[in-house]
Amino acid sequence: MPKKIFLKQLFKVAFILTIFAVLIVWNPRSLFSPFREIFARTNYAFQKIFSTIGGNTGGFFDFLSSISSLKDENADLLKENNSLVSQLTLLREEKKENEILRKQLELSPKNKFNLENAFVIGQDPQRLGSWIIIDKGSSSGITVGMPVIVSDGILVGKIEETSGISSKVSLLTNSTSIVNAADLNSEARGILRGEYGLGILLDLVSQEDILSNGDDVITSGLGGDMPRGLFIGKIQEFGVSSDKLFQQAVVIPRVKYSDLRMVSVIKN
Amino acid sequence: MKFDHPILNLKLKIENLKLFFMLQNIFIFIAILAAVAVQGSFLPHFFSPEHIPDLVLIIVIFAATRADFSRILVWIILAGIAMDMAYFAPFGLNVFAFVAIAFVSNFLTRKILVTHGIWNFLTMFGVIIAGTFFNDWILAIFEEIISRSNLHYSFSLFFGKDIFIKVFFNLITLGLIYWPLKKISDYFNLYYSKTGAFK
Repeated sequence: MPKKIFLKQLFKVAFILTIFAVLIVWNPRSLFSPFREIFARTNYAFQKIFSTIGGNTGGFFDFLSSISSLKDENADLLKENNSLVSQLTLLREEKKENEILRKQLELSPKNKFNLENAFVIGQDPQRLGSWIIIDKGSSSGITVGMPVIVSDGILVGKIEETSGISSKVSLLTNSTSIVNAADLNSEARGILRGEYGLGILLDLVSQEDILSNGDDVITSGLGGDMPRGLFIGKIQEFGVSSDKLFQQAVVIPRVKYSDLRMVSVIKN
Repeated sequence: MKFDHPILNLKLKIENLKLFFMLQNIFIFIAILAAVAVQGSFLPHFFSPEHIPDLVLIIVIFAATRADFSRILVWIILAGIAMDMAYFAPFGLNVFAFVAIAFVSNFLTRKILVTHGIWNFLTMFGVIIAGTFFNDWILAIFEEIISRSNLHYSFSLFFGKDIFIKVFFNLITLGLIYWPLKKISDYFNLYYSKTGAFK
């Protein structure tokens, strides 16, 4: 290739790279929202089709690979089922008691969530964080910050960005994710944050509070951006933070985020 | 259809050529959208998030090693924008990575001057390995700049074990799509003759 043409091409590429480098660092999201909207709509059909095909095919392979472990899993489930039946009986009793107490205290019944169900149509295909794309957006009343749950009460993340027909959900494992959380058993409060897609950490827990392995972690409702009581996961291990001021705990989420197919957005 | 007059025949040829290029452009545009959707919506069902093959990057490198760079530059930018837009990435992130990697790939393959057959395929393997590393590094560095505004270099950021697994999956993906892509590019005459270029 003649040097002149190569230099011309090199200059062109350097110019393009400079322009886009400035745009990346500047990151004017609102400026490109209309373009994002057009692209999201154009790509929506493809995402939905490939997500459905992938889900069905992946489900089939999961089934094949799980056949060998079905027997053990079945035994574990039977054991868990027996334990849950006994817990259910106790909870029924407590529910009655709760209703009576609510009547006596003249409290209104606990509000039901206004849920918007959505299919997962995309996941983080690179290393840019831990997130999913759902097929509902601002046209369905979804706004930034709304909690996203599965199975009627297990928190998986919150809405980070929306377009008309789709939204980006930042998962709890995302490094930018911060949620006020509490230990259900000891009421110890802290901040739950993602660990670069690798896990979740309950941080800034006071030294006086008691943490135990296996404790349930729920949203504390502090700050008002999340309702209290959404289940997050269980404490796997805990210890003292590196500055020795607080306690930290590794939380294992209840659901596997890579297997999410359908989620619900809490709109109220 | 054929006319007796040579000018009319020429006009007809030009019309056919225009139609051909229009169809080619539509095909490439749809192919880009489909590849973007496959990478983010289909492949995550089979791979863990950090090992999902860079399908779009592989296609970009394939095109860059076989076609005239200036001819495919617009499509590379479009593929990057499609990735950024579809997956809510900061605008320009994938464009930057794709353009830089495509330019280097194009330059290197012209230097190596491998024309046909199995050597071309093996050269592509090398370029894909280097391209995967560069893509990951570019994304990681910009992510660090955007999220923290202070760079936090570490060995694991650039050479974690996940990147090697990703390279492996990218090579398998290349093996699977190389021949179909070659057939398509030959059909659309996208094939870049190294000896005839830049004369």
